[in-house]
Amino acid sequence: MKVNPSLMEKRNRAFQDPVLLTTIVLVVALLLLFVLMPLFSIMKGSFLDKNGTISVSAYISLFHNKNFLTAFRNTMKLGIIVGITSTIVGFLFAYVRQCVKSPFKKLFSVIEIMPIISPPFVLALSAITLLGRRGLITYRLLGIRDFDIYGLKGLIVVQTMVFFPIAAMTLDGLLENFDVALEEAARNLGASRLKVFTSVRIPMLASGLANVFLLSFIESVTDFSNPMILGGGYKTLASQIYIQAIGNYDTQTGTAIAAILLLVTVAVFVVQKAVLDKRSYITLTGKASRTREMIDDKSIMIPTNLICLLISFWVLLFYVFLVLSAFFKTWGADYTLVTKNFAYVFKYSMKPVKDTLLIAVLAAPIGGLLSMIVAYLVVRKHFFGRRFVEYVSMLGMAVPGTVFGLGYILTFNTKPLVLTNTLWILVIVLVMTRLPVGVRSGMSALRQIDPNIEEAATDLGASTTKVFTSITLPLIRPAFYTGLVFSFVKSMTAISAVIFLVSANYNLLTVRVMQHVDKGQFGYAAALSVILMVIVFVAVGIMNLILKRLGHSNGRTNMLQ
Amino acid sequence: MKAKDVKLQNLSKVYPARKGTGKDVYAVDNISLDIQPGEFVTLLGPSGCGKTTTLRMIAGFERPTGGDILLGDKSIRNLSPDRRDTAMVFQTYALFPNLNVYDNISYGLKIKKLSAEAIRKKVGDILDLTGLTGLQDRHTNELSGGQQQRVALARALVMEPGVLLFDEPLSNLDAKLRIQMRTEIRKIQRAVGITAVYVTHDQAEAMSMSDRIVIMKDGHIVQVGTPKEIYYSPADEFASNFIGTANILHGTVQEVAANGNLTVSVLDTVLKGVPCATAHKVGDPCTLVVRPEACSVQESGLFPAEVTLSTFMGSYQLYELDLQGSKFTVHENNPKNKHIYQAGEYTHLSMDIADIHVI
Repeated sequence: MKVNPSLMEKRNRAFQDPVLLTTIVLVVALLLLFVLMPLFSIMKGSFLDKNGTISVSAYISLFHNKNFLTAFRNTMKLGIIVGITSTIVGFLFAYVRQCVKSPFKKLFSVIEIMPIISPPFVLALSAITLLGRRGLITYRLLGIRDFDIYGLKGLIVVQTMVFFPIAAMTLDGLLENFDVALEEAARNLGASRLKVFTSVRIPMLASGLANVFLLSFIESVTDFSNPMILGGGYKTLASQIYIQAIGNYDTQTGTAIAAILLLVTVAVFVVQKAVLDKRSYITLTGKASRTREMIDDKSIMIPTNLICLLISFWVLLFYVFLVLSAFFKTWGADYTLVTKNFAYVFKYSMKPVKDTLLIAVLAAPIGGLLSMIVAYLVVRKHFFGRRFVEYVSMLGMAVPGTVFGLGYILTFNTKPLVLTNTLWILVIVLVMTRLPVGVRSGMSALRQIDPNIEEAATDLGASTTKVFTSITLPLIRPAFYTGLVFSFVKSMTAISAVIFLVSANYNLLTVRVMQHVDKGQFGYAAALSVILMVIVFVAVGIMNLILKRLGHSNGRTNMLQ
Repeated sequence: MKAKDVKLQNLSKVYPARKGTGKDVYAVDNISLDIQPGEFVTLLGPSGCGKTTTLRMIAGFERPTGGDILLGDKSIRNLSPDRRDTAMVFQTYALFPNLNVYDNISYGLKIKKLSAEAIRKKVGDILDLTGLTGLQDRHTNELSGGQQQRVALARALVMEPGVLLFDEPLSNLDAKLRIQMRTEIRKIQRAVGITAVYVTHDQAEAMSMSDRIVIMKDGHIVQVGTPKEIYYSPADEFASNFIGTANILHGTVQEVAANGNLTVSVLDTVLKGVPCATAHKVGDPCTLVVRPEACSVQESGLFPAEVTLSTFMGSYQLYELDLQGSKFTVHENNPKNKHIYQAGEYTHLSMDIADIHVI
């Protein structure tokens, strides 16, 4: 008997299904055009000198450039420190939520959510109000005359506040799935609570902690807005890309820095994947395990709660003063509350508000649907190029926003595809930068669905499209809707990629804020930030309300969660 | 109902070697099988024998590496699963959690674009047939395991497929319900007259439901036959052990009579007139199979034996005997008024030579 490799046959089957084939071709084309091409442009740009000939001169001069070397060291140093601080604070919050008795759990989860759904730069604005050279705490309250928030320490404080929630939520999931029986077994064998913590919990969470550290590291080194606002003389790579390419019109240096930053983040991302894949003791069994007994030992309960409370008040303080500073008459001098800042932005910034809303409303559903389609293809279909689709759609996770932004400018301001100055380049870049998160959540939702259910539909005569729309999509609806809300929020608050792509035709709120900050108009910046946050909170509230309504109309979505 | 016949012709499924191991995996290796219209055929075997792969190839979820599948004399090898006239009942039921019972059952009919009236009629009939009437508005998570099983069956039956496929459909039910459902499935299948291919590793299920049983092992078919044939005339030691309990004795052929009956020497005993359907020569080694209920422990008999275990099982007394080093099991039926031998006693094993099957 002749043996044909069965893989070829499976792949050939795609050709029997024209809709599936078209979808695959379309997805591959989108990924090539809007993920790989921009990155290729960056690479190409960094190897072309001013006369258009290939050279490594940009890299050579970079490595002789003191400023660049300092920025590189700064970025790494900041990344490592913030990686550690975010992991520690994140772990503390996750631990208290999952394992320790606490009356403040609601408060803590609000504190975790706030930085995730607010624009990334608002805490930096507050930091200047509270801790700046004429800050309310430093100058007014403590009377320090020469305190300087700008630089490393300011960035550490603010970035930790912004990035610890992601660490907390990741670790939260790990702790939640931690089998209680293991702890009980250790206690049963005579281990004290401390011993259980150090000998069972920490070793089992080691890969999770390493993962969270690397995630926070990537967040920190790709952060654009906080170093722009709060960096002062402390320069980092992500902001330097913008300053060189846009501020100094030096595309070659900009792209070379972007290429190096990309190299760093991709390398860390690969390490992170390896860490995650190698040892994961936490398994989802789907078996309902007993609820954990919360630790009510006062020697643990009081200090952990106290620290979390202090951090929470600290974060809250920043938000309260962001709102207040939108009403201050003169930033840093006259603290009378007036509404002139709002009057100004309502007069001059309504167009960016509308543009931002329009673009987010477009980007969220397009991105949401695309993510689910890509996730479906990757998890359920066998076709030539499946790995390519999986990896390229995930690649965005490792690409700093500034790198994407610069890559888009380089790729789409020349023929054949000119998109700069349009609405669509903003929509597309937002869709593509959100794609990895959407695809990942779609994939994990799909993996929890018995593939037999889809096979049953096929068996009853449903085509691929019919299976997807009548069975798959309804089943992953919770993940889809959550993704939609999240993607809307992120589209509203994005800054690092879009700042390269706004134009006279389409400006965005976040970029407008940065423009005000640039001119020292902190009052306007704060007022606009408050408006942005109000829009986001209201939108999230409405969407949650609708989702709850939908969720109640049928009791089945919850059984999938 | 247009029951169709199913023909498997030299069907194979080979998974290419994983890097480094260098050996292709033959999940199904060149099997051929003819299934008659309206027949209930069970594929039986241990896990990894290729039974589920065969079923999934019929449904179209796996592509054969070689060979062909004919449904009603037409090759369906190159059809995608949605275009095949097959309907499957899954082990996990695979009910659509986003649809209620009625919508689950009518799912395939809607795809066929039947009129609303026709759909209502068909679904109503099938609800009656499967005893689900009244539950059509329930959600799938509001059903018991047995009810979910019925919905899965109804959803497949309502399609009136050429062949109905079952992938271990009862393995998630508790023991009592399993027995109840297997008679019920068989009844419905008979009433509708549909062709059915049923996969299981449970021999009791296979025996009680099938017209014919196909015993599989390592991707091969070991034996095809009615439950009776398989039980009384197993093709080899594997088949004899897989269905029921079997006692195996190894002997040598001493004489072949004109009618094919053999004289065999086993242990220190010579058995005359052993019925045999296969050709043997004098001096050939042969294997004798005897079922435990065909034997008896008595004062005198064919073989001297030591009782090593004697346990009262209710409907029978279970003996384990030592026959000069060979282990032998006996089920002495209805032991109420019989003499019971205890472990350690020396006695004899007796049987009717006509009950012996020679492999």
